[in-house]
Amino acid sequence: MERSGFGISLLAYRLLLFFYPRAFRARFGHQMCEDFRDLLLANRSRGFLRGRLLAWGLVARDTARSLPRERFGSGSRRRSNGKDGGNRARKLLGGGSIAQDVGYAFRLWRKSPGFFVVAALTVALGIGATTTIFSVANALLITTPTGVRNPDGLVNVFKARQAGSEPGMFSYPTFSELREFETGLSEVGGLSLFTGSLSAGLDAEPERVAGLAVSANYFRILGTRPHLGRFFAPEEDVSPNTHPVAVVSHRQWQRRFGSDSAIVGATININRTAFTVIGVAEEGFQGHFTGYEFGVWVPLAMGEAVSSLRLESRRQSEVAAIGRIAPDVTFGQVAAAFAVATEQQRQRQPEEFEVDVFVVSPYAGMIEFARKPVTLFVVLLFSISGVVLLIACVNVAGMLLARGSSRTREISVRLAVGAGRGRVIRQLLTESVLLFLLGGGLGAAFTIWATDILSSLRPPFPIPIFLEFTPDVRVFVFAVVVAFLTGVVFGLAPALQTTRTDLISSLKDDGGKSGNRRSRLSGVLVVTQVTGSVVLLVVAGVFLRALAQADSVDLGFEPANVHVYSVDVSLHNYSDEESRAFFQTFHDRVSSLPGVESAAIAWTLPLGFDYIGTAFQIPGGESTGNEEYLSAALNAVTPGYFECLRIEFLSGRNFNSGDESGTHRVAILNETAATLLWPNANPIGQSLSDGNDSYEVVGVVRDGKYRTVGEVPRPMVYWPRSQRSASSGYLVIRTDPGRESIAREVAEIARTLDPDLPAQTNAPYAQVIGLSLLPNRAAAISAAAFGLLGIVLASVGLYGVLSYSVSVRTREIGVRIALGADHGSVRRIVLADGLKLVSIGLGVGLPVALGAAILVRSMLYGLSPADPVTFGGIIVLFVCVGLVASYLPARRATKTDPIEALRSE
Amino acid sequence: MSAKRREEEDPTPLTPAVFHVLLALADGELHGYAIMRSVEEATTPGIKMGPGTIYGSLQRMEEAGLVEDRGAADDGRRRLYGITERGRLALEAESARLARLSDLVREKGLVPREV
Repeated sequence: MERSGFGISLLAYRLLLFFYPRAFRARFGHQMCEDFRDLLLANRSRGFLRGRLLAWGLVARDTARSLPRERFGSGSRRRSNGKDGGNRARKLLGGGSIAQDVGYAFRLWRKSPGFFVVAALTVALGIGATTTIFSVANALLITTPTGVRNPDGLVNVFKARQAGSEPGMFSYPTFSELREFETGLSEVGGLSLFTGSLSAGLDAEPERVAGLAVSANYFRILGTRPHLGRFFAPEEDVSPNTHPVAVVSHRQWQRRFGSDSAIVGATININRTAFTVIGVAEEGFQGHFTGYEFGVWVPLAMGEAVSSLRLESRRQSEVAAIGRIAPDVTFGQVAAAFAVATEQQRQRQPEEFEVDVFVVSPYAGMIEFARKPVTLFVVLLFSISGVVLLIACVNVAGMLLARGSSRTREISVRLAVGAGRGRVIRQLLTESVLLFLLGGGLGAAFTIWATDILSSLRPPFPIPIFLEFTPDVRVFVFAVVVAFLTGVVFGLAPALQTTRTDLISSLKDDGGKSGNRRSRLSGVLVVTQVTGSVVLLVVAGVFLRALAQADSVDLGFEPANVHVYSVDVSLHNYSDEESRAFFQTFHDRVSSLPGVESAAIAWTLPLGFDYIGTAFQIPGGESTGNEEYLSAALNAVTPGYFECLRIEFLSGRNFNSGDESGTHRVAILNETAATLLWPNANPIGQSLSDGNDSYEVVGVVRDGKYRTVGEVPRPMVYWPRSQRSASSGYLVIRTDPGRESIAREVAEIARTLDPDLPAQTNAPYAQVIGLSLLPNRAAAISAAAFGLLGIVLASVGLYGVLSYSVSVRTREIGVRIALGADHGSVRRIVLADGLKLVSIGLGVGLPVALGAAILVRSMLYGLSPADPVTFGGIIVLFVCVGLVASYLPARRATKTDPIEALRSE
Repeated sequence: MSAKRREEEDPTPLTPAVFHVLLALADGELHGYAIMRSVEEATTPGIKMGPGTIYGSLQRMEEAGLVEDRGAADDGRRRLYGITERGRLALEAESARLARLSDLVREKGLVPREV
């Protein structure tokens, strides 16, 4: 689909066209869509919101005029043969003013404010829920970060093993070669991410900050402008480590430097290197990746000073590129040129060139790696809120229908005195669209409030995260379009039903036939509601059950009473010996704190943020000439690690002081790795190779959960930390229960060891794990909240429909009672009606819900999507709701006075 | 009422919408959106006809034999509509009627003779 940016509007218009008669749509639908697109294009210059509102305003008037005539044209056409020439123009363009209809609608509502308030609030809930999720989607996936201009012409460049595999970064030498490629990009900039400490002045506390080392043209490519000072000059990004200059973000400047314009020229320390501030970025600019908050930028040539980046090394892949497509070049041409240039480069440097393919993708705010999971998550939430909207709309449609029945007389009179059916439908549609628009307005207000709360949540991720869900014009256009469409869709059925009256009988006040038809339609509405809320509740149910299961899942280790502290000493360019000494002292001093049971150091943590893996040769493969590899997770740990996390040994021994650096290399496997490598032999004493070194297996420990709680057991290999690099690590500390001051005490010790090395993590282990469950929790909580909302709406709807059907059947019930039916059997008839609707709803809803649960299976930690507890519970719940909602109408039915009922015959 | 009977009817006086669509088509074939633009430009204040109204009118005018579908436009995305002989006659008759009307109005001194 072309990138005109009108996707939502066009889709909405296409849906709207479904209300025109099929033949009309088949003949003109395509042209109407084209015209609408041109209309949007023509109004584009008037600004995003104004342009769209103007186009939709015209469409709203146009639909109100033409839809009734195309559907029920005869009335207006007949009258257009009349003598009234002045009115004729209006007849062809529509007839009667919308303003009249609007005024009439308001007068009606003033008479029954209760109906109006309940209906508008119901709509507001549905539209508010959807619009809130839309603003999340908008902030995460649609809007590009502030300060990035003309994002359409930008491309991201990463490398990958092969097309389609996960994109990654490349080395600085590769970046330098890439810059010289002839690829149709007018400019290519490089960037490398770093985190570190930022301090200014002598007394100031160091603060953790995420930054980017960027090529001098980075800011120009993005189109951002400095708020103060300037950005990097080309000569500042040529020779390594010669120009320590930095740009700070507007937020940093406000928060840490008190918006003092003397910042330009001042000195700040980033990871212990002094930099001169030359500029402040424009307000709101935090880098070009959605959600990341970058506080400082330095030239790429200064990268070595602030991070572990080594500019000559081809083995270090820490650079990504961003480019701007030259005018008159298409994205397809750029991608093709990249493939050719990559091949040429490989032929020039068959040995050194490390890239298999470059992945060139159109720039979108969300960073490549996160786009897919975030999209899935947003789609999930969006579907959930969509179901809530459906339930709310169906509820209001039911209310409109019931209200229509009380207006039968009014409408019959209007039809009898010659109003065309189209005209009356237009009046009813105006009422419902207006109602939905007002509800939508309330919903938008709800969205402002909800997104405010969402924006204030700051989960403690290891990288500063900055998310603003504040709704922009796009969100409000969305709310208006949704309100308008739902108003038309859910107003039309009741309007059609209400105007399909048998004039004679309704004027005689004999509801008979049309009443039956109406209760059939309201039955359909209730079934839809029940179906929707079954789906919501099942999804919520399996999520909650899965979360409960996740809490009780055997992780293979015990995170309770464990505190986690992590630092990256490479920020301060520690040598391996220095960092080993740092960690050893740190470990020893923390271990001697009171209330600390044990401590250990590890490269990574299970269910933490980083994951290291490598491939090991599967023994036996070499002899057949068919080498196979086992990908396993890796960790390098001190001997105390297993005891500290309570990881059980199944056989063999722990690492010991004998496994020193340089001596015989050893490894401990988990159960899964041991079984996969030696299915039929004792793994202890076997030897294992990663292609470079071989290791003797000295022990086997129990499996654990390493990346997600729901994963299937995966192989894990432990190395002794003493035999491995020690540049970064986690200190895990098992304490006595209730040692709350541990975080402060550990930070204190860290400060005495290196005053400005910021902590990456300093939190209870349970909290770190909790973060990995965050998306599931968010999904479960929203599904549960929306599900509860759904069941409340559904039971109100059920109650309404049954009351209504009892009132329609008053005479029938009266006859039954007159003929001797007792209260019990009358009650049973009404209860059975209610349960029938609920059963049909369950019959439709349960299979759909099962489908939905299967779709979210990957988030269920191994819980079966067809979880019997959830499904059983929901069936029971709905039968109860059906009984309660039918009980009151049933009791009322038994109170029917047969004489009253028969007298109206 | 059968379509045949209707065709024999005198379509004048035309409704303003039909008149403006015919007027727009008098200079040559146009597609729906171009008719919309043309009507809007020709009238003060601009009459804005949306897609639903345009195609509804075109369909009825086609039934009345005033316009016809002349096939796909160059871009292939939409169709061109042209005025028929009958449509041209109707447009001329209506124009003459309006001209007589405006002469009448002028004679009565209701508007200045030269604007």
